[in-house]
Amino acid sequence: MTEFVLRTNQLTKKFKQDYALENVNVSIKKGEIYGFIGQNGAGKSTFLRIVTGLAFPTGGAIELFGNHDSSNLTEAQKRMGAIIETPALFPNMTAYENLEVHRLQKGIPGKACIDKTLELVGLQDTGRKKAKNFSLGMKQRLGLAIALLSDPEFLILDEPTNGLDPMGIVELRHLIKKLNREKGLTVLISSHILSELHQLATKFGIIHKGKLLEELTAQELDEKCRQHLRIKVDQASKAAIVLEHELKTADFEVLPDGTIKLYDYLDDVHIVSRTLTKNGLVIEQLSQNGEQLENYFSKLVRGLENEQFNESGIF
Amino acid sequence: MVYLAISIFVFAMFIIARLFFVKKEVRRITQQLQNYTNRKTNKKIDVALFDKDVERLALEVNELIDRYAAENRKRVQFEQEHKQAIATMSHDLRTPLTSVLGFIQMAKDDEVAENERKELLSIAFKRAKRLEVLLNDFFELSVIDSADEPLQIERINLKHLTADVLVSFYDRFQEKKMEPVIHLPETDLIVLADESAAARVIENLLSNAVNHSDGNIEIRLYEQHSKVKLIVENDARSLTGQDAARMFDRFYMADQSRSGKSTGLGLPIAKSFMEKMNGSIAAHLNEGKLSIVCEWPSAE
Amino acid sequence: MSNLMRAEFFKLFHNKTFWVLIVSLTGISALMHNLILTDWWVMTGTPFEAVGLGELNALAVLIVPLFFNLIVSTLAGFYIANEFSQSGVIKNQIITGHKRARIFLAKFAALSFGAFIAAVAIPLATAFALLLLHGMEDILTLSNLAYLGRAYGLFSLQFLCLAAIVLFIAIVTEDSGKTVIFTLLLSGGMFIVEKFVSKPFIVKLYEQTFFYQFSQAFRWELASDEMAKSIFVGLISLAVILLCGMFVFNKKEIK
Repeated sequence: MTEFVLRTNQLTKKFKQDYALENVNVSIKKGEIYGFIGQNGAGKSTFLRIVTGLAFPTGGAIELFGNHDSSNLTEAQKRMGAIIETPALFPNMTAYENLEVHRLQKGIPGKACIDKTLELVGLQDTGRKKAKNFSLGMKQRLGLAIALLSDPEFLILDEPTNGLDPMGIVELRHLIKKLNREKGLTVLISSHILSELHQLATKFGIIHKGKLLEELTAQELDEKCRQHLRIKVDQASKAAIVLEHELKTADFEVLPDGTIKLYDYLDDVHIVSRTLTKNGLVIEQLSQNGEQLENYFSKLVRGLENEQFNESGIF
Repeated sequence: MVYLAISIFVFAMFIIARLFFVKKEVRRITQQLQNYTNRKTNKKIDVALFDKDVERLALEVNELIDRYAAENRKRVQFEQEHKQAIATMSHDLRTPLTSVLGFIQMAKDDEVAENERKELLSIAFKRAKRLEVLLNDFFELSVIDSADEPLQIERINLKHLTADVLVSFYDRFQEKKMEPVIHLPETDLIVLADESAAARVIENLLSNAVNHSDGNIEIRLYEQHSKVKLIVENDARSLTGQDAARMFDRFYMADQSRSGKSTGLGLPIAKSFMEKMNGSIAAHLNEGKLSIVCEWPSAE
Repeated sequence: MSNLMRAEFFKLFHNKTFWVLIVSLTGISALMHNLILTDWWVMTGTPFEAVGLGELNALAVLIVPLFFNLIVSTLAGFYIANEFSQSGVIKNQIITGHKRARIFLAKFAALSFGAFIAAVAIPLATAFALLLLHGMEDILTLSNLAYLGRAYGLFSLQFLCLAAIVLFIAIVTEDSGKTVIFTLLLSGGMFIVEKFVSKPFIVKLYEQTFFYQFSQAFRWELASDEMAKSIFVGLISLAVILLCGMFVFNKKEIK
């Protein structure tokens, strides 16, 4: 049985006339790193704020760790850590004091966890420096430390790379991967840049104008985005030799069903088809698959807009 | 008298209230532990932080939960890795196998001339050989990784060992017309290692360098900060930074071997051995030169 | 709940505004008491003079609603409202998975404690300290002490109501400046009602509020039914304001 950390059912949030979220169904399994992708204003933060209990839905339901009634939901929130929008810090306190407040709030026994968490995010040497004098990157780290202090099972990060330098982004990615691998931490991370979460997330949810357009796994995304030729012929093994011998390429894979994925000759499809036919192979399918990551994203978004266009009857 | 009575009363109330709160916390801890045991939650214990002893109890419980979770995690990870290894293996073996079968199939064709058939078969044979090497490497890696065969860590003379391995590579250097630059120290270097594992590591590094160098090879051995370092350097202009970073990743290397860039898993095997000997191994790419650095703890 | 309180007190004691208030009030009230005690400054018509405690006349300034409102609202503004707007740390607190009602109560406890220390305890303590210093402790007879005890006891109860209202305002406005302004507007309005409105209906209504009870608390003679009424008004107001506050806070969307 797969355990779901978070599931939403037709989650809706309406501000007067506009929908900030419209019937959003998200499901996040234990151990996943869920990348929540959408442009600014697409409804990511609204969704995260509802999940963390900061805001309330106007329709639909949330299920956290299998709990759905409101008092159990609040209790389940103890199992997660989050940074929503900007990291929330006491400007006049040091990193240590900021964490101490949070430790007291959460009732975490032992002060040792503070030093451990500071070290984890690389803030162990800030000493008496107050949070207001921190750089943006350090503030982000401290926010992360607060979210991680209680050793949560579910971590929610809202645009955590905002204000981080490229090195910081790499470090953050490593840290998330490490926690995911070593502790089985489930992560929900939002961003407006798909490629930023590529290589990190194991599952993606793409949201636009309050609607969840698509949910897909990283493999599915890779499948869609790695450019290749998909070749299906009557004799796969013979085709493999032809590719190797005549076209001098070994950059291909043979799938269990005999389909060949060729990562070479992307611009010379005619050469491939001619060579295969010349060697007496019958081509059942030869197609170019995959596209650039960001192209894929914008295509999805554009697709929705055209759809709305059609619905409104202009076309 | 009255004041005394009042203060005793207040004191008693204080003690009773405290007792009540401590009992309540103990009940809460019990409840939380029950939920943890029944797998209703994986959350660690939280407590009201008013009593040092209750707090310490909760801290110790959390420590225990941490250990338990880590053990569990290790097991799950091991299982996952196993599954993944099998999946990757079958994935990596399928493509070369398909091409072997293809060559044999072509050779079977009656219309093929005899000399062409021979050529096809010999290609198929070479491919099958490479497949065999890959399979052996996989097997060796799994043996190293399983804890059943512990290494015998003892004091060994790394200078002599390196020299011995270098001598055994003499023919291969000759074959490739290479004249490696060798810097061995005057004095003996004693390290804590397993002799045959260390020999295997040096062999693998040299063999990798011989196979891939598009220029010369340099071997250096010296001691620094109570660590003994062995550096094998070769020209590798076609290598990218990403290749260098993932050199020791067995799945990456297997991936590469599919496209014919590498012959096997020599470097991942070296890494496994080094880790088992408490040493380290790293690859650096600098201006078209690949240097692989091994470090052993010095025995002195 | 106890953890939330500890966190709130930790925050209070690390709050600059709190310490600024403490230090400045210690200075101001010590200065005023000194001026009164050395007869540099003569005040008449205070409730303290009426009961023969003219030496404590300086306290009369500190029990003017406008004055201690300023203290409570400043503290609430910089300690409570700033958590919502400036630093946003309230988000972290909500996410901890505590019931919002409890978070509200913990904040109320810390705010009323801090405000009480600054606006009530310090003026009294400095008064006693200076009386001792000037060797005038003999005016603190048992009956005078009983009066002070009763007066400040009732005053404190009404003070809690005020703290609850200010907390409510701070949470609704989410801004330190607005918190101060709205609190002062409120007490200014009440001041006008008390002094300048003579419509019997409104006066009757005003007399049922805890604002009216602030001045009642310092009357020398207070019949037991009036005292009961004062306590009753205080407790009911406190309960109603806290419930309203919790209700609003429960429904509030945190930005």
